[in-house]
Amino acid sequence: MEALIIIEGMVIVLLVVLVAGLLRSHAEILRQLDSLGAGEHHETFLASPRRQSSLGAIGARALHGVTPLGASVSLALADARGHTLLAFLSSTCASCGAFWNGSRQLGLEGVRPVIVTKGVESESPAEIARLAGAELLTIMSTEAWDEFRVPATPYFALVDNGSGRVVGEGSAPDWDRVEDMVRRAIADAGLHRSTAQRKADVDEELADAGFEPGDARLYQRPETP
Amino acid sequence: MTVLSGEGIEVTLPPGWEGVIGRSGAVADGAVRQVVAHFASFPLPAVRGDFGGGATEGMGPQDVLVVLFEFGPEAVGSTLFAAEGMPSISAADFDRSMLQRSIIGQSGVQRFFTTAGRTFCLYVVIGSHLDRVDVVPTVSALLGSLRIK
Repeated sequence: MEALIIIEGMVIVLLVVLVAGLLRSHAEILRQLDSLGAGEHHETFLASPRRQSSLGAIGARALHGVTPLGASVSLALADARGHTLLAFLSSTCASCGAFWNGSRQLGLEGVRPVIVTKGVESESPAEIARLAGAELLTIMSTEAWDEFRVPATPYFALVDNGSGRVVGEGSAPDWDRVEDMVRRAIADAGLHRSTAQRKADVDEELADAGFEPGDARLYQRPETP
Repeated sequence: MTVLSGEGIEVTLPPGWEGVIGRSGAVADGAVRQVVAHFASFPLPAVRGDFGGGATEGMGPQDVLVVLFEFGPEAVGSTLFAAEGMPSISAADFDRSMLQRSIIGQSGVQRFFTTAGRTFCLYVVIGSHLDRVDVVPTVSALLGSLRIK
């Protein structure tokens, strides 16, 4: 009887240790998910740019890599038009399943989605080719992962190809949510242009229309019909 | 400026340009996959034909697409590829009837040549025939930077 009580006590202690370990592991997972903007924070994550510096400042004006079929690629991330949505995915990431196979095209004019995986030293080109399909551009580039400091997958970075700046980045559970966040990030970037940026835009539009600084026509009253 | 290389081809891309150098994907089983390079002043779509089908449809007036398509060794020495070295292009070379797929406003130029014992077709499409004088210097700079081994 005494031995039974001792054994029972040991089992209880083991169970307590096991439960404590599970709770600690669970708390760590929740903490990491929270830092990535997962769960309830999805909607606000991408809309707030974390990095304000231009891509030029971190050394990337273009995205270099290879396709899963072995082609060498260089995509412009600056001095070009539109936006590039970089989707950093991994073949071993369970949450990436919703983004593979090109089954979903973004319904956003001027936004080109590009899947970026790590290079051939980390991923199997054949497996990436199978997962990605042919509908979306897919580039294997560990250099890009380092450049964008990808913290986990799936992870998205929206680049304004004109300025070469990252205007949004973060994580999301599916393409629908990514599309919402991209739309919001583009709208926010447009609203939050500095006075200097807006002035430069106006100067450019005037120059395109043939009006140089100091042009006398700028100071004339508009003709009334 | 960005240097892109692959399949024995090296090019310096002007700012804002992008490129892909690889092999044709649309081949029958057992066929040799030809080397194809696309260089563009606009965002290249994922799905493109060897001669730019799927890409030229979205070109703006100032856009340019440069295609290099390699033919097999059996073409070496043939009359079509008699010209030696990378061709140079002038504004007068562009012709609206030179397009693989006719699109209003666009024009193109096609040249066949041999270099380094390899035979190529150079195909250039511009978004606006009327603006060809504006884009030729950039195209010439790109062609001048091409190195084929």
